[in-house]
Amino acid sequence: MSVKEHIHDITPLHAHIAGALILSALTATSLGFLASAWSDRRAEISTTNTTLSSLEQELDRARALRADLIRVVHDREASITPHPEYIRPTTTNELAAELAALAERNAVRVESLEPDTRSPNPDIVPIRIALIATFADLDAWLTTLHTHYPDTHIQSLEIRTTSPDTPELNVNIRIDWHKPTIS
Amino acid sequence: MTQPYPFVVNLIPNRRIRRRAAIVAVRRWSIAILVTALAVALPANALALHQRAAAIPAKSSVVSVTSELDTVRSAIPDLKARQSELDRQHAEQRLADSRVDWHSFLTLLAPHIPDNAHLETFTASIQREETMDAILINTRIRTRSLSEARDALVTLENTGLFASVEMMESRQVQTGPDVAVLSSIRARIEAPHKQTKPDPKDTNG
Repeated sequence: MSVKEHIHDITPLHAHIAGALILSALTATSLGFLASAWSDRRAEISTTNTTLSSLEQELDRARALRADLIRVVHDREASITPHPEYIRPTTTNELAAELAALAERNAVRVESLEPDTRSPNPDIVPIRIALIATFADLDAWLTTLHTHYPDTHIQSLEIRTTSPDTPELNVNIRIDWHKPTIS
Repeated sequence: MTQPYPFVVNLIPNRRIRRRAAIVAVRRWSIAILVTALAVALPANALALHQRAAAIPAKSSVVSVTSELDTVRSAIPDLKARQSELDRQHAEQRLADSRVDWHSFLTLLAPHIPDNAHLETFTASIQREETMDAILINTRIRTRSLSEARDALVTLENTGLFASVEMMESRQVQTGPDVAVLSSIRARIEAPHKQTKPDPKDTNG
C-alpha cells in the first residue's frame, strides 16, 4: 500500500496531531541542542577563566620571586668588592708552601710550621708558625698576609726579643685557616 | 435579493470531504514544519554549531600567560644559583673583613711604647665575644726602675687605646752589675662588631 493510498485513511485530526508533534519535536530538539551548546560554552568559558585567573596569580608570584631574586643579586653584586689580589690556597700543603714562600720574600725565617689537622671544626685548620724576623720584616710579612690571603685569620701573636742587642725577634703566630668553599 | 436556490445540497461524499480536509491539514502542517525548520531549527543548529566551534577568547590568554610563566620560571633556577654563589662570596668577604689587621694594630701600638721601656715579650690574642671582639695583650717590659715601669703603665693608660691596663707583676732582677725591673702588664682593646648593612636576603619575607 502506497502513501497516496494511506492518505485515504488519515483524518484531519490525525494530521493535526502528527503535525503538532513533529513541529514540537523539531523545535524542542533544535532549541535543546542550542541550549546545550550554550551551556557547554558557558562552562568552558568559566573553566578557562578560572584557569586563567589561577595562572595569572601564579605568574604574579613567579614575577615577584624573580624580581626579589634580581634585587638580591644586584644588592649582593653591589656589596661584593672584587679582590683580584686575593690568593686562596685550597689545601693545607698549598697554604704551607705559600706561607713559606711569603716568608722568604720578606726575609723572614720560618722555624716551624705546624698545621693541626685534628681540628674539631673541619672548615678551620689551626696553624702554628714560629718565625725569626726583624720588626720591619715581620710587619711586611703580616701586611702581605693580610692583603693577599683573606682566609688566614691570625688568632694570636707572640713576639719575644732574642737579646737586647739584636733586632731579631722570635715570633709565634697562631693562624686559623678557613678553608675556602668550592663554588 | 432572493437566492436562486433556497438550500444547498452537498452531494460530495463525506469521505471525500474528510480526505480533502486531511490533505489541507497535512499541507498546512508541512508548510508550518518547513517554515519552522527554516526559521528556527536551521538557525538554532547553526548557532549551536558555531557556539561549539568558536574559540574561547580567554584560551589565547591562557596560552600566552602559560608561555610567560614558563619564561619567568625558567629564569628562577639561574637566579637562585647566582644568589647562592653571591651569598657564598658575601660570606667569605664578611669573614675576610672581620680579620684583625695586625700591621695596623702594631703600627698603632708601637709609638705608645715608652722609649725607656724595653719590650721583652709581647703576646696578643683575639677573644671573640657576642657583641665585640677583644684583643688581650700580655706584655713584659724591662725598665731601669720601678718608677719607669709605673710611668710606662700610665703612658699606656693615657693613650686611650685600651679598655683596661693592669700591672700584673713588677719585680727587680739583677742583670750583671745592673738592676732592672721586669713588669708584666695586661691590657685589653675592645672593638664592637661592625654594624653591617641589613642582609638583603633577610628582607625577602
